[in-house]
Amino acid sequence: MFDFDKLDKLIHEKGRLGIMTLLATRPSWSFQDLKAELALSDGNLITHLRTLHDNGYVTVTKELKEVRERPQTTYALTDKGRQSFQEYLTILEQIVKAGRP
Amino acid sequence: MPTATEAEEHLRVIRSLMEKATIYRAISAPSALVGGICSTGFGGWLWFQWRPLPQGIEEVAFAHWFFFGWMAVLLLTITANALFIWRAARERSEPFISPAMRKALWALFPPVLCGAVFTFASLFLGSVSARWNLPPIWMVFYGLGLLATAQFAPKSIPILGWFFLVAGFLSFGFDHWLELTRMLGHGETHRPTAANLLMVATFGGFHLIYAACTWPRRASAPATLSSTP
Repeated sequence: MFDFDKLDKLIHEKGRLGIMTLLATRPSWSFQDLKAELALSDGNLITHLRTLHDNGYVTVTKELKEVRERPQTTYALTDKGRQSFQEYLTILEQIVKAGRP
Repeated sequence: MPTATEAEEHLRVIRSLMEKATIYRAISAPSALVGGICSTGFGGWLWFQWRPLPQGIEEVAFAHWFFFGWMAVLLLTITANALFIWRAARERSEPFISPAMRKALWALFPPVLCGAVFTFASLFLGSVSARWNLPPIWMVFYGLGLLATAQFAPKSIPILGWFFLVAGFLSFGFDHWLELTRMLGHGETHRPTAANLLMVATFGGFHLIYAACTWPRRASAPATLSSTP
């Protein structure tokens, strides 16, 4: 048997799980794209991103694509974040296996 | 502790989000640049090579150069595109034929197949002059191919697809435009030359514009999360 307490509570929350999943698919995501994909409010998304950033799961970068444009904020997973997400997936799979007759 | 059902539901949500979010760029800016340069170079060479405009026997020779030359440009561009994709995949430590690439190839397959069938039908069933209808056919099916990847491609790809599709539709009437030009007394314009110039303008011009618009340029600086995005 394994310890279910290993399940990362930080990732397990629905909103943050969505953010972590999307960040795992591409090198980086813009705030607007994350918002559009997850249908979260600005406040909710910022709060979740701040929590993930404070725990070292996410990095934040301001990118200047065009000189005249406003800088775009993009988010990416850190190595720690990626590893935690993989461990989270492994534990979920173990829970599913353990629940099968 | 979550139940197995809850865990399964979480895994299902993760899988569906990941599939939806996967982006695959079938054409990169460097590939478009190679395609644009090859198209403009070959089309320009063909145009200068066959001046004065082809007539009679020369039109047959021009048709051969036209078809095989543009096929060579296609092969060259596909090879360059494959090389760029392979290099990018290696940098990300991913396999060359990724699940996203398979998805893109499946999406591209029907329009490419239709384009190939129409091309061979024009070559083997039609007369030499049927070849001058190939550029609109290529434009339309290429445009459809790009649009077929719209679900998982960056926004610039379907935009390029629409440009090719609209240009293809407009080009179908170019015989009538040539006739109109003749009627208005603006001199002779031959279909072979016009077909070649259409190829230069679209496969050359559109790709060069696409490369210029999507070429990666960024100046990044680390920032904190304290400010709003």
